[in-house]
Amino acid sequence: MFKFVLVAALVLGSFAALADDTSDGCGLGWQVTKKKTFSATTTRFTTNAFVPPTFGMTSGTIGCEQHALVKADMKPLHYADANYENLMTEIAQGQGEYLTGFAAAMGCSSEAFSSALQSNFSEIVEGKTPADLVRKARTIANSLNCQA
Amino acid sequence: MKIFFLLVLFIPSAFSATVEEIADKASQSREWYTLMHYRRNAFFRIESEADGEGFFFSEDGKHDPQAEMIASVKAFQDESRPADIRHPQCAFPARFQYLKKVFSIDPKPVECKDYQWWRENLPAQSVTVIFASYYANNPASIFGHTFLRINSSDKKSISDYGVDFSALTTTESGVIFAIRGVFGGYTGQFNMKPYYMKLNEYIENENRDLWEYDLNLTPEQVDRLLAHIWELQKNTYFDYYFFRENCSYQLLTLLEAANPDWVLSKEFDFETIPVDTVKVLSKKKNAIKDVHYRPAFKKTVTQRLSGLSQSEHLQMKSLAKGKIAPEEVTDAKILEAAIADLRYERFEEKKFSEDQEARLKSILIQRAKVGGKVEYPDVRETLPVRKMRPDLSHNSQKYGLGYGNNASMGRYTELSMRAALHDLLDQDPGYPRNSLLEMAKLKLRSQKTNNIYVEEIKYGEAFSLFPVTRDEFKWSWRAAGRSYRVYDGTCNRCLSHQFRTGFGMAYTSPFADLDLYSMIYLTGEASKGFYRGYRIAPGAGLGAIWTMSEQFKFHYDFELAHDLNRADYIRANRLIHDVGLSFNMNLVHELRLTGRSWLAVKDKNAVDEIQLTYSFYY
Repeated sequence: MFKFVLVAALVLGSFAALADDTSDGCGLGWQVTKKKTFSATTTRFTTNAFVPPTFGMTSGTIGCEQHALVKADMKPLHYADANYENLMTEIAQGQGEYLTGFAAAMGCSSEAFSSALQSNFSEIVEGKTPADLVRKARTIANSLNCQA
Repeated sequence: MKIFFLLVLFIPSAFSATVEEIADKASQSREWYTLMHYRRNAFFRIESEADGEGFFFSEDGKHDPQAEMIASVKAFQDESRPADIRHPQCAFPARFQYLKKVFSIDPKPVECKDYQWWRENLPAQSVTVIFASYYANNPASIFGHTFLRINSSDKKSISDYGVDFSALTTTESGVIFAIRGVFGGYTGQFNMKPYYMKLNEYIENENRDLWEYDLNLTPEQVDRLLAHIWELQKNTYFDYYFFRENCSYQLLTLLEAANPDWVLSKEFDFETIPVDTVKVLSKKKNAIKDVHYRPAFKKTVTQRLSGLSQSEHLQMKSLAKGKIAPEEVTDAKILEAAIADLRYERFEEKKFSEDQEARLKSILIQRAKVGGKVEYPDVRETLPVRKMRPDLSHNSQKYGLGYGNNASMGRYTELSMRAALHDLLDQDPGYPRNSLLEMAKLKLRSQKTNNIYVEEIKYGEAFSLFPVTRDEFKWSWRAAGRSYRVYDGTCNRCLSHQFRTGFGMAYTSPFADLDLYSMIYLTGEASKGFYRGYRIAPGAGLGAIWTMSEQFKFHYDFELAHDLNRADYIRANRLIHDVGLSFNMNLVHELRLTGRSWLAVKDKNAVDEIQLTYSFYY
């Protein structure tokens, strides 16, 4: 019973929040019926896959999520988080497209960087998070005096 | 309309006449129609497919191109509106650029900080259409999905942004989801996210091949494309209709706005199948510059594993199962194969034990310690990539005319139509190998006595073959619903409504392009001609599919079925044979020779049928 009340309160609360939110749509002239406003802010699905919520995305000055671009200083972290598993595999294997993309995001596209990441892999893998990976990668990049 | 009359009083009459005259002609132009998404609806009335009112400056804008053009021109020049990011010039950059040119106007420019920021952070040099192909064991995914990638430079990076059009749905029950989806109950939006996020969705999470088609667009056209995406996003939305105004359709309308010379969306009246939208681009002269193939995760894994000898494969398996320690293996190739094997298992099983997780980690550490890189042959050399291109596959609809002889009916002519898509005798290029997905197939027959009757209506059938390999075992399965004529002697050519399902195993021969399968079936059907009106029969059978060459394909199938509820005078066991040989010409025309026979076991009277059919794909 308590759970039901809690859930009902949350649902009604979100309705209330949406009702007040005039910029819920997308800037100038966004005309959405009330029915569609609710749909627009609940979980999004593509026709085939569930898209997890993202972080590190900008919202532009009009507050429009559809135009979200990754914030410049968040690029390496966003990339590492979205591609962590692939990235770790490719670092261990010394090559790969995800590794290339990561090196570019770090501003350090040299062969020496990939090699250094591979040699330091056991240390990198001990830190379990993407943030640790980015931190270690940054230390390595700095020690190599990397030019993009 | 009132505002229009008021404004007319303040503008010199010579000027307003000119605007009307220009608009009279220009509002019928292809450029205007594509920017405004005008199209003739089912009642032949001009209507914009944009559904949000904010897209129109004129009250009649949704149906009146000329009124909308005049109202837009006025809006762009309106100095009473705030001169900031909310101004029409900033909200509709593509429309503004076009009308500036057409009307030779030069209104006081407004600083559009938001739009400028967006453009600066989204460098755009060229555009690629990405087609996400089918994935194994899911015949419905044959239809695919399309989206765009905005390439920031020559080196197409996975950090570039992807643009797709998708429905904003809520988590509702399957039935409501289907109804809302078909009848436009959801809003569709263009979404932008880095390409690597889309890769994760498709290649990793869904195990689909991706095909990248680089488009030939000029810098001006790329600029207009982005400006148009902005104005659509900021000001309107589109109702999402699964069958027609879906992801692929809206991408075509986007491309038409960028390059009005391309006529792409016109031929999609009732249904838009994503693979067909790629074909329409592929057929346009010079529309596509280059094609790249990006294999699904599974294919990469298969490549890594198939490069191993038997002993290497054994060692890899021991390593992956934890029977030997990673430190004992110094061959980078074997280590990478074990990594691929474990990662694929995690992907398939969706759950991974802590042991397996730890094992994978220690193998990765060992691999990094060994160092260096392993060179693999280009996937294009190991897979018949050209034959796999979805845009080169045969078209979705098929029409046929056949002539045959049935032992219990005599000679007949047959007319057949199939809405979609592919069967075991259709040539495979662009489709999953040896797959079957049929929807809405109709066969009509006629005989000398000039009667026409329904021979078969197939509502749908799917057959997913999954050849067993040394690395993987999966069930093959089959399901079909149809109404058809019975010739096995149980009734006098009655029409039966049947649902049949089966599962089993398949095996690919290493010596030829030949698949063998064995299946167990269960069939349930109803007909007035049956004893008690229905029939239930478990059964078992074997089949073979042999792709003899690019032109010839052969199929043989039989089932031995046992009727559970037959009348005493009917034999319980039936043997049904199906044999076919197809000859394909250029994936457009086909000649097919088919034979069927029904035999009640222990009964000497077998009925058989032989037919020659000419068909074409459309």
